[in-house]
Amino acid sequence: MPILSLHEVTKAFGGLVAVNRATFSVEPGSIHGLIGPNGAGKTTLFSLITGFYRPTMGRVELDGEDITRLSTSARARKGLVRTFQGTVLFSDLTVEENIANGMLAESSSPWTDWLFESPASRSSRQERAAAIMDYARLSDLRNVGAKDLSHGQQRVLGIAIALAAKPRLLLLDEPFTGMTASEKNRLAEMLRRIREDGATIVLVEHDMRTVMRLCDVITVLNFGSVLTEGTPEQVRRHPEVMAAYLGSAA
Amino acid sequence: MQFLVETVLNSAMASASTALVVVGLALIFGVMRIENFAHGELYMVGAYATWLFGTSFGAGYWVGFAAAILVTAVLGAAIEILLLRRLRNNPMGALIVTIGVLLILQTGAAWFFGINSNLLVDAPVSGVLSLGGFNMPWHRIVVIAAAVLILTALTVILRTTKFGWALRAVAQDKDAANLQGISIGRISMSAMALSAALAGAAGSLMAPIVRISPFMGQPVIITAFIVIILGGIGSMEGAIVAAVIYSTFFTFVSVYFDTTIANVAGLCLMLAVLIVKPSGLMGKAQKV
Amino acid sequence: MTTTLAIAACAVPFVAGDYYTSFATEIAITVLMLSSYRIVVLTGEWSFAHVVLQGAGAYTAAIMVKDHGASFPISLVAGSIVAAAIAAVLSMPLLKMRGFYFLMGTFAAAEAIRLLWRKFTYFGGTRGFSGISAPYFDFGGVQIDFGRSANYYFLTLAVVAACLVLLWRLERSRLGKVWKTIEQQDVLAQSVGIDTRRYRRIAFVIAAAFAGIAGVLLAYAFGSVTPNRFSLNFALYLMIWAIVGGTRTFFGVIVGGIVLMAFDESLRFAEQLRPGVYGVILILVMLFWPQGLERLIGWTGLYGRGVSKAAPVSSEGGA
Repeated sequence: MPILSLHEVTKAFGGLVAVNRATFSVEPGSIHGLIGPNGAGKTTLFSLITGFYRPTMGRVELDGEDITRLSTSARARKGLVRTFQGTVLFSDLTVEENIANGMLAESSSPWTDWLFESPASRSSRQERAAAIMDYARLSDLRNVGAKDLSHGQQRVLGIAIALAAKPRLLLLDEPFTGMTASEKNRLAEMLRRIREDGATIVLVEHDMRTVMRLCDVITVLNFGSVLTEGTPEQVRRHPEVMAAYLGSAA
Repeated sequence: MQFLVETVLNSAMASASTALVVVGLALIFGVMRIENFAHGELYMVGAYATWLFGTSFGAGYWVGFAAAILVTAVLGAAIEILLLRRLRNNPMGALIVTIGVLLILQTGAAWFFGINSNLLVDAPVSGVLSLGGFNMPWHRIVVIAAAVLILTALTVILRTTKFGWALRAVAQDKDAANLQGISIGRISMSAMALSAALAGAAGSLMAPIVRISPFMGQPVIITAFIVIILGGIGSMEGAIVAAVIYSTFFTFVSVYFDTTIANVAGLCLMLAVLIVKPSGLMGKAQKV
Repeated sequence: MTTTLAIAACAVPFVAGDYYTSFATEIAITVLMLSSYRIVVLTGEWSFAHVVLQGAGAYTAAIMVKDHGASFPISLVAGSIVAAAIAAVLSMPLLKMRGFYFLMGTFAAAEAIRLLWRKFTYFGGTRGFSGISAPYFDFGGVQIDFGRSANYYFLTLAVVAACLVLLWRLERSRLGKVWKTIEQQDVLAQSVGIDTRRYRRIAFVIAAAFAGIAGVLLAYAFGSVTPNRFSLNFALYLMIWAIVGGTRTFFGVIVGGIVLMAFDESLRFAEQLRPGVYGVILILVMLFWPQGLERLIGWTGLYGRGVSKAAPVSSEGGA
């Protein structure tokens, strides 16, 4: 069963149809790319999946459960966690505090934890934060303020915060934007490891080369609709994809 | 029947004065995205200016009226240039600064004119219109006529002049307007002057009817915010329609029940609109 | 600093006369109001309803004492619960709003409640209640009459101090961290699973519970309750004190409150000019020190790292 599936999802802003009957599904354990020329509806679709928008029509399912009406935070608690385009962080806090904030919604602890955090749950959270920092290679920067990080590090921290919320499905909004080549390689490596550890990844990305290299499946959007879907190789050879990109460039 | 007709006319007068006040408030929100809490105090300044120039200096009501418009317009422009301009990217800060202006203007009025002074402004047209058994002071009809005239003139200015076009352009999209070479600073200043002058005109028109006091702006601004929310914040047409509906509703409830109930009903109405349709009864769907 | 403050607070009745002891009682109550208001502010919203929720506590105490002869501890708890319950009901619609809309929504709800107090004789109409008798304790022979201003001052001080300890704990708890998270990055907080509206509601209700306690203390302190004591003007002053004093740190708002109350008292000779002076201060603070006086004086540094960031008035907060 797919971990995420969209059925005829449509979003209209007034008369403008930004996403039109988008239907596709994401298999668990895959890295799934969403691409398309500018204005193809990628960002809108992303917001529809994460619950920042409600679709005008259609259905979004997570593990077969209809989540179309759920709020963003409820979806996140079910394991659907997103990152942001650009850098959205707790910029006045340190790296470690940023990651700790990602765990605040955790529901496994008893309610008394909200007022008097038990030492046990505190230390277990601290351990998990340390593990995530390790994972994201941010351990050396744990006490550095988020706003003092380099752009690439900030992007990685954004993903680390999302990891703290225990995602089963991680949605990344243009994670490679503004990164140097080596930062891109390292991030790609990290994403593969996240996938190996059991999470599914959906990413919206402009950088075609990275998408082609990293993704197992790619869905191409154009004018708000799904143009085609397939492996990177299939997509690369698809004539309409070429046309869509060339058309947008002209 | 006679009572009903008089109440309807009183509603019309309340609508006229409220419409003048709220149109200015909606204008300033549209252009600057600022909720001006001092707007009621500009109304108060209009009333005092009318008394000072018209009655105290003996220049007559219409001179007082012109002076009220001039004084409030200058005051409005000054508020924009000295204060709001510095807080253009901080809407909550600007809101709080207007509360500061509110307090200063109230205190200033109390200082210069006293709290319990009994200032009387003579109406330009005295006497009472008696027609088939019902009585209506002429000035109330003057208020209605003047408000209609001013609002019509405002509509013409906004629809036909270059200034009006620029104003609407800024209200719609500040960045795009800026790219087209419209000076946001100049438009903001003019909009603020215009908005203040509308409040001043309303205060001046009402000066012969209401008790002039430093705190007369408070109920006015509360009414204005209720109306603005009913009409959809930033929508001038919505504000005028809501002003008429609300003032009529308020006048009738006040007459047939009492003022407190009318106030509570008004507040609940505003709350209901905020809950059900935050974009206002007449407003377009906008993200809140 | 905390101990200095505590010693100074305890010394008041011994060095000052009855007038200033009563005034110190009022300061303590205002500090509780400001500290609890800060919880709402922590989530990034400004409310006009806090003072009327205090009023709910005060009216509850007045009715409990006059109609049911309730004792001080009982009316204290009842006042707190009633205020919190009213806030819980109001929060359902109100917390759907943000920024200016929330401000106006809280104003409408609060003013409607206040007008009902004025309207109905059950609440004493426009004159409210008077003659609320002071608490009187009798612990097996040890009798304390809290009608004496010094005794009531110590009672108030004890209650306020206990509340402040609770508030301090609360801010450092996971709940407090969630509030700050919401204020700093609403959208990011949602995306990691924090139901922001729910936690803003919780903040609103908890703040109201403390406002209710402040209301009960006020009712006993004055021996009377009037609807005008909870009018928009007082809501405005609470907001001004919070903004001018600064809401960045727990102690900032306390020290700011004390300084401003003292300043307020010193303006008593020029009663008429008072609002204008506040207006000028408010504008100067907004233009030049948008994070409040605590930032100016640098109290933040004194109390360890301020976990919360700038007061929300200095960031995007509008509609």
